[in-house]
Amino acid sequence: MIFGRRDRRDSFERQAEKVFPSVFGTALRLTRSREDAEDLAQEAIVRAYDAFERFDGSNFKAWILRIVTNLYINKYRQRQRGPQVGSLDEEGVVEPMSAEAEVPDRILFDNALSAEVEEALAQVPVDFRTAVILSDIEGLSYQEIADATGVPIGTVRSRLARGRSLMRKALEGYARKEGFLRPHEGTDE
Amino acid sequence: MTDPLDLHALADGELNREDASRVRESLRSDEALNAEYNAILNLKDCMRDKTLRFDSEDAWRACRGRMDAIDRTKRVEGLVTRYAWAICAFFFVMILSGRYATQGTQGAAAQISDIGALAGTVRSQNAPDLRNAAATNRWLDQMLGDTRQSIAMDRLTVLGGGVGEWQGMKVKVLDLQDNNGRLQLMIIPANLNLQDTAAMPGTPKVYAGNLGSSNCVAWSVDGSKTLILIARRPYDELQTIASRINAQKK
Repeated sequence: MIFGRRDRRDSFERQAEKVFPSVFGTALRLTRSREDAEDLAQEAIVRAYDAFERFDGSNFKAWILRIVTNLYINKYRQRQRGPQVGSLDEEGVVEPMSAEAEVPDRILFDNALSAEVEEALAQVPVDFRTAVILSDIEGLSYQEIADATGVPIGTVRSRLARGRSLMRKALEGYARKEGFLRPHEGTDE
Repeated sequence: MTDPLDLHALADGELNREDASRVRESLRSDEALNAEYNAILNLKDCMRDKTLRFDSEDAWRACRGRMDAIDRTKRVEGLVTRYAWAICAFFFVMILSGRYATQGTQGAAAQISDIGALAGTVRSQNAPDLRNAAATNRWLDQMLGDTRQSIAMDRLTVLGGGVGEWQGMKVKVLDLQDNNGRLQLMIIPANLNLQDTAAMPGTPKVYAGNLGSSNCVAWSVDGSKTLILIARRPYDELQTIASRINAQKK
């Protein structure tokens, strides 16, 4: 029994240590506060450790990120400030990311610094941001994102499309501010 | 007409083979759609390559600390749950041992006034035929038992005696008499810590107490018995008689 517990701890710790940068990164990107992120990541690890016997052994990273997301939604989100999904029409028409804007991706993405990408991401309302983080940074499938956020796959698809569109717009704003885009470039005017 | 969401799904590898080939076919014939698809891919690359890697070492150390604390708690809970019966038994034995140890060394606490009250209630139920000296001596030996005490028949006369019960113990009471009047000797099969007595000056193993109109002196034998001599006498006289009783049989 004691050895079983030791083995369980070792097995959990091995897997958790590997994915912890993702856990902490996701927590930080969701909460946008280092202190909250540390609390959220710690609480998620503790809950995952407690529930490790119920883990089905499939995808540890997806499982633990689901715990992080659920915890964030249930506990931290109410305390967070900033744009919420209610301010945007979630099921609305998805805006194209490039076709009409004609902004060369080369200009937009080659010049973007990591900090600017993070800042652009932080501007995206949290529900869209969550979908983008879990899909594009952490590589979760639609089904895993749906499980983590508790919404249908259709909603995940639309949130991702909308989130990416908003993300690109925010990056355009930075590019314009830094002078990589002329003021009229990338607009419909 | 291709659903824009399908472009995202294709970029994410979430379309089945049939839908994926349908969307790819549209991409070949529609430049705007192709540009949109590339924009999605480029954004995905940007997100993958240009997002920050946060330092999480301290946070991970804190998590390990929490897991250590959980393990410690579970270990203790497990032990307590598994060995609850043994822990209970251990404490029960400890309490019993403590009780016996206290009895053996310090003696059970008692008020001499409580014991003295017993003396008045014990009657000479087993009084011997005092005209027969041999029978009286046998009876006295029975009463005194293994106390190694002795009644000097030339100084003290045995009037009778009996056995009473006090706190579950059989207490023997001897009614005696000498030239100055009557006395009672109580033999209690326990080493009592008599709380309302004081050590006699010069003889710290003899304790003096008061029972209303009578005085008494008490002493212990072998750490397992207490003898109390009661009479309407001064303490020093009682002490003298007590020392004779105590000294005569070693």
